[in-house]
Amino acid sequence: MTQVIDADSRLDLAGVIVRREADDEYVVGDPATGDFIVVPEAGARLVELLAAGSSVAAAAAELERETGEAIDAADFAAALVEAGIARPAADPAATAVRDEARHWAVSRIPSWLVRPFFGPVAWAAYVACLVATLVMFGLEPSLRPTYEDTFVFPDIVLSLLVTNVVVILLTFLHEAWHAFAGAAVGIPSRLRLERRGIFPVLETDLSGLWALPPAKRYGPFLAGMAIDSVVLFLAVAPRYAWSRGWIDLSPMLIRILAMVVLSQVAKLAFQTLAYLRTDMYLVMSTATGCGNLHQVTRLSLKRLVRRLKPEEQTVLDTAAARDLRVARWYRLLYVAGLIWMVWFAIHFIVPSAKVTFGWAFGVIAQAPVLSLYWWEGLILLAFTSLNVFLPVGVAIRNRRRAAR
Amino acid sequence: MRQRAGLLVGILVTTLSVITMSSFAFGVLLGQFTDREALPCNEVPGTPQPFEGNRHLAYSNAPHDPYRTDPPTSGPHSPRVVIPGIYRSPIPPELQVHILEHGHVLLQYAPGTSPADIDRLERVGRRHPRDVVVAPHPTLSTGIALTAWQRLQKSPTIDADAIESFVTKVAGRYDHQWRNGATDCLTS
Repeated sequence: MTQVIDADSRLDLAGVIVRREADDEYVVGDPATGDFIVVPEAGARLVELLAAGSSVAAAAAELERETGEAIDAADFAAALVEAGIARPAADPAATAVRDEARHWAVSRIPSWLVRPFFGPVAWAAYVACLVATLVMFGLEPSLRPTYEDTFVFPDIVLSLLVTNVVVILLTFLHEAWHAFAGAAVGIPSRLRLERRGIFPVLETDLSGLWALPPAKRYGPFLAGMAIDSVVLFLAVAPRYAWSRGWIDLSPMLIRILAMVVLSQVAKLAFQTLAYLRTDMYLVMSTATGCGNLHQVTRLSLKRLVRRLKPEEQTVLDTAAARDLRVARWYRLLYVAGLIWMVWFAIHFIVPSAKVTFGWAFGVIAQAPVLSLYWWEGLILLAFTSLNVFLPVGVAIRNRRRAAR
Repeated sequence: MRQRAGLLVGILVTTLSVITMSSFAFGVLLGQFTDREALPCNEVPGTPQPFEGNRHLAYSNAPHDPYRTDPPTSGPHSPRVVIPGIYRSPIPPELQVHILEHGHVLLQYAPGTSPADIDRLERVGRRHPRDVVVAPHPTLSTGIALTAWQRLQKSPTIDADAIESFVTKVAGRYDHQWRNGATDCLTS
């Protein structure tokens, strides 16, 4: 719905914060919704005046008195409303309900409940878990994961089922820890299914963090990897003790723990692939002071091979100098990553899909119809199809959404 | 100061990305460094067995020609997979062959083996968790049987040194094909 903003309008800017990012660059946004924009100093001052209750005309007059320059405050106010940062003062309740509904319930937990998980002691424990795991991997190489660890049971379908359930549960735990860390600094979040290149991913949207100072963002960005390290340690330590003969455990539990180790190592390794906009990318772009590094890099490369759409050209033309500067070397990693992803697909995903599709079709064609083996082949076919085609489905969904 | 810290984090993250991406290549390279030339046949424990084929059965209970040895050492096998480790139930012969095709060693014991001896055998599995499958074998009349691809060694008693020697010298000689100059020790 288009909002009509005129000189007499007042805006509801409850919850909106203004933070200086750099010289003449201010982040204005609502941490609760994750909507934010970057404005010059005059824009930031205008937001402060509007937030104090001034009408659009009064705020414009005050700013002109302070700076000596006339500005189109109504246009600026309309842009704030359009970006979802401000609401016309008359109707705050409806918007609040809408924003509340978009958040993941986990992320609305009271901050005092989750803050202890992200204090200095907790972070020391996370790091200790990771270091201890690496030491155990060094002392006992057989604890390192191999692809065989997927096969917890002789029945391949049962193994895939159990592995997928465990991986999905642990992925939710990873995302929940992001959400808890966000809640600890007062930022609610949203959970969504996305894709990173050829990989389907669950993602906790913590956009609200960008309205906070950089130092407060690292914890929520690293929280998922932190809890992954704890789970990894809890899976490796008993196997280490068992391999040394210190404790006795059920052989089945040992195999399940090995599968968890494989899943966690793969998850942590994936997070290091910064060019896929993973957790480490967010850490890197925060540390380098970038606001839109990935898109600027992608578009600056796209420009080399094809003409950009007008809105894409605008993104590049208005890109911050820092983004453009960092993009100069980040693009090398980005291109290497794209090449690696194609190589990975050709050497791992396609051959393994070929083997599983071939095996599944062979079983369906040759096993007695409707027998246990026949159903096993059918389930395996469905599983493999889901894994191969899910990223394609997400890509199609995103294209349709973008077209609307 | 902040700019320098940002640059350092950028270098660190980029390095981690590159290490992860190249880990597959590193893995292959490191594997090549650790590969040793296969032992000559006269130093390999156990008795060589004739090749009985290596085809995958279409499904687990599909019919096939009987194996010539018990336990089997090659031949048609189940598409299902058993990974190295300790098992307390017998492993069907068709699955055993698949284990051997992946270069692992099977250490199986006869019914009636004492709990203390089973514990000794399982400790071998703990020491070699990536190479050995330990399991009971109901058709073994006495003692233990060690098998690898086209290799068999039966023993009426538990000889820890002989078991260790078989595991360390035979595991990995074959993994879907003979590796590092190993042969079946039957054909010249």
